Amino acid sequence: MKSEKKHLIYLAAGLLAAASLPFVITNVYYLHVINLAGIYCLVTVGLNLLSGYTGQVSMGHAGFFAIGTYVSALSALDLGVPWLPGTILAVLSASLCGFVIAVPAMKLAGSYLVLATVGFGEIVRLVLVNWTPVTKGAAGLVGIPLPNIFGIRITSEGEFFYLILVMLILGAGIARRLADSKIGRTFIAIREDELASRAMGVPVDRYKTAAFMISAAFAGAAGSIYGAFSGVTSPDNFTFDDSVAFLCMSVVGGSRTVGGAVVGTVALVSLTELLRAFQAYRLIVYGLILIITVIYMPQGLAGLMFKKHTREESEADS
Amino acid sequence: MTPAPDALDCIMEIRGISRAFGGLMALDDVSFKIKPGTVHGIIGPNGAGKTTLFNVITGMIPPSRGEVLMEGRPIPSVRPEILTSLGIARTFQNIRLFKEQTVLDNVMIGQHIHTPTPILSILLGGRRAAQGEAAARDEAMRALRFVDLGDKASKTVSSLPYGQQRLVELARALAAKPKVILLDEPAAGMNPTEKAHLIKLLSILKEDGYTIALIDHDMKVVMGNCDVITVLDHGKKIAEGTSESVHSHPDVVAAYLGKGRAEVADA
Amino acid sequence: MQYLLNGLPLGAIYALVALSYSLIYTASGVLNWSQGDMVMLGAYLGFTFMSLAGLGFGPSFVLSMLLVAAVGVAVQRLILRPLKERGAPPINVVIATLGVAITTRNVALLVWGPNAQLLQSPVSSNPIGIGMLRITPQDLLILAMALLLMFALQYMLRRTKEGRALRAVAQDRYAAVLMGVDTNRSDAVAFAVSASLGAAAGILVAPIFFVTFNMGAGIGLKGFVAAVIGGLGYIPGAIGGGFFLGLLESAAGGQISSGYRDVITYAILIILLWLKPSGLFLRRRQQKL
Repeated sequence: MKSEKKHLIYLAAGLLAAASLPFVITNVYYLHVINLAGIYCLVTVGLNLLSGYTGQVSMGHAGFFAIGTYVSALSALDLGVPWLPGTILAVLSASLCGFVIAVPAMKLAGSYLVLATVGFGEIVRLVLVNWTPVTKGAAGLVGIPLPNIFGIRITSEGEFFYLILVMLILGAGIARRLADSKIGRTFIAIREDELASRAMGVPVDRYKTAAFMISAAFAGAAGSIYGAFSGVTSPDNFTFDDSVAFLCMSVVGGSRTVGGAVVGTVALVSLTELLRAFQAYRLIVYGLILIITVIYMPQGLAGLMFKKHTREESEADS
Repeated sequence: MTPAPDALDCIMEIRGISRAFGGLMALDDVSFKIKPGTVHGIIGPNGAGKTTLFNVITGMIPPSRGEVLMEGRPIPSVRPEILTSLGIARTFQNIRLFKEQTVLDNVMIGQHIHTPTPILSILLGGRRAAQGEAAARDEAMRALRFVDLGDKASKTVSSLPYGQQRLVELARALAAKPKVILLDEPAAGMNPTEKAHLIKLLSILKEDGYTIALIDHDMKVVMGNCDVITVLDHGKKIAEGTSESVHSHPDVVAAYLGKGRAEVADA
Repeated sequence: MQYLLNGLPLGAIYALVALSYSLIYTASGVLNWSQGDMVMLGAYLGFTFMSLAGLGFGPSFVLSMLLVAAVGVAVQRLILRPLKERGAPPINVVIATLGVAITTRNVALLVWGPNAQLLQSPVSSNPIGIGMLRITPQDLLILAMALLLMFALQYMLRRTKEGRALRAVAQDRYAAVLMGVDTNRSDAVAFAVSASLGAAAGILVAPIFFVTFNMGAGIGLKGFVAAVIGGLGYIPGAIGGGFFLGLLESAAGGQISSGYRDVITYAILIILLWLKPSGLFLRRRQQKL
């Protein structure tokens, strides 16, 4: 009970610190980067539920992210749908794609599954490039309207910050609830031993499909805010490299916890920014850090922090 | 919680099961019945087809011919996920636990079909989800205390010694509230104390009305504790009966000791 | 018919890259995502030796294969070995090799700059006609060299000590260790051979496509697709998969739409994975219980 209270205090302090960020950081550029990180975070949280918990590694999450962005942006541009219903549409469409890709994915594991998800991501991007009448092709969409939620117009970086923060808190909260429930427990069981799960009565196919759909829904919601936040978008924002970036955030932070997604995204986005001055060396260092992380911190940064935490606790107990 | 032994004379029937791998007949027209409330041993030398038989019964691999009936109804093959709802739970020869999960979580997975999944309540942090979890936890703890592992509930499975992992698997199977428990070499890798403990647990389970089918190499585990023993050799059933009758059966002696020795013994 | 002929050289390139994936997969049990960038390295090194150092095509070809092989060994020593010693899950190996790919790509950008380079082919690229069909000498060179390399690989696997060790490890790693095979050595051999195959593919493809720092991503992915179509880890399958993909792309690009060519490729890939998860040319593996 005591540790739970402590946990709540940490959480409240963290939220307060987060909420006050726009007052501390007055540089609009930094705020913009933080907002982007928040959007990526939402994708990574969903990715962790699929890859970290259920063990279904996806290298095609940029595809779901793209669907969210385009569905929300196009329904706003062509049909005049406001942002909030547009987001719901985006979430539903992304989930539907998650369902479709889950059908072949159910039968696949390991490298084969990775490849199927890569194929999915590429198909989405190529359709966006080639379906010119609807998607405007490689040129992409411009003038995506700003969100207007029940009369509240979101225009500045600071306002976007709070909208993204709310979405992230909601998303992380949902993810945590799922992860700590029977559903999360079953996801992990499937990751650990699919056959044994089946033998214990777990409808594995249904759970895998659910994991894909939930994970895609997170990416879809993130995509919807991404389009409105950027105002413009094109297929170039959703390449294989972007899928890889999401997976890297997940692994570097620690894919088997919800918090790991947050840690990983913040770490990699800050790293990218810190290295901006060394333009030419930036991606080299990025690559090296990936390698070092998976060799020396296989549970990710969050795994490292968590381990330290439990050690402290057990020392305090004794 | 305990299934009452019903009036049926057989709870599970294996009917003419054959299974070929390539040209090799792993099982050749095997038939026998398992009576409710009994401990039924299945023995045989290495490669006799025992584990294949379990895998066919539990729908992990389809039979080439034949069928398995549970309480008179055929068990569909290649659908292991419906086993627990038919009242069958199993353990595995090479322990298939969810290694990175806690002991308690493992056992709770065993209850999968008996616990609700109130999605809305889970998302909203509602009372139904919390109550469901609490009830599931209590139930799982009961199964864990039965195998004397109540104090290990929060340990990660991979940190437990081999013998205890076997007991976690038994607890996980019990959590599924089965009528028939299939145990694939439950005593393998156990030391004598652990074996004695396991045998005691099995006799309690039998008293509680469970039907147990078990494969084992260890004659001590099988002979003293099984009501009926079916002997397989090269995929065929060669003998069946009480431990005394099987023990002295010439074909069984031959199968275990090799033909040469048996002929010498006969002569 | 002409599409078929156009697809052959491309298929040969894919086959070489697919072989490099399959060889590492079967011998070391890992997916090395940096194979595409070995193709890029091979192309750049070949370009450097030929255009800047003034070496001939032959020496440049061999030199860059050797150098890239050394890079392959370095990847095995510095990355795969520590990962294996720590018992890392397969996906971590994939991510680590992704890290290698990102690093290699950007080192190349630093060294050779962002501009595309053209590697001068040793033969002419004017098509010659055979009846109704046309093929360029460069295409013929690609086909000939690729076939030569495939035979060389077969010879190496069947006739040399290192090759036999590789095959033993591929069949049963544990048994091979008991028989005294040094798996660290066989892993290094697999990485070296795979990397040099990739390098060869790079030099061969360079005169048709331009050499750029990020050319590895596309070719690497296609090579991996080909390897999976053929059945990952199955050597003849990789060759078959490479040619199959080359012909498919040529036909899809010519007959249907060049924009949707890759969509068709990936759609067929996913359907194939779904219906025949162990590849086109391999019978379904028995699941071990």
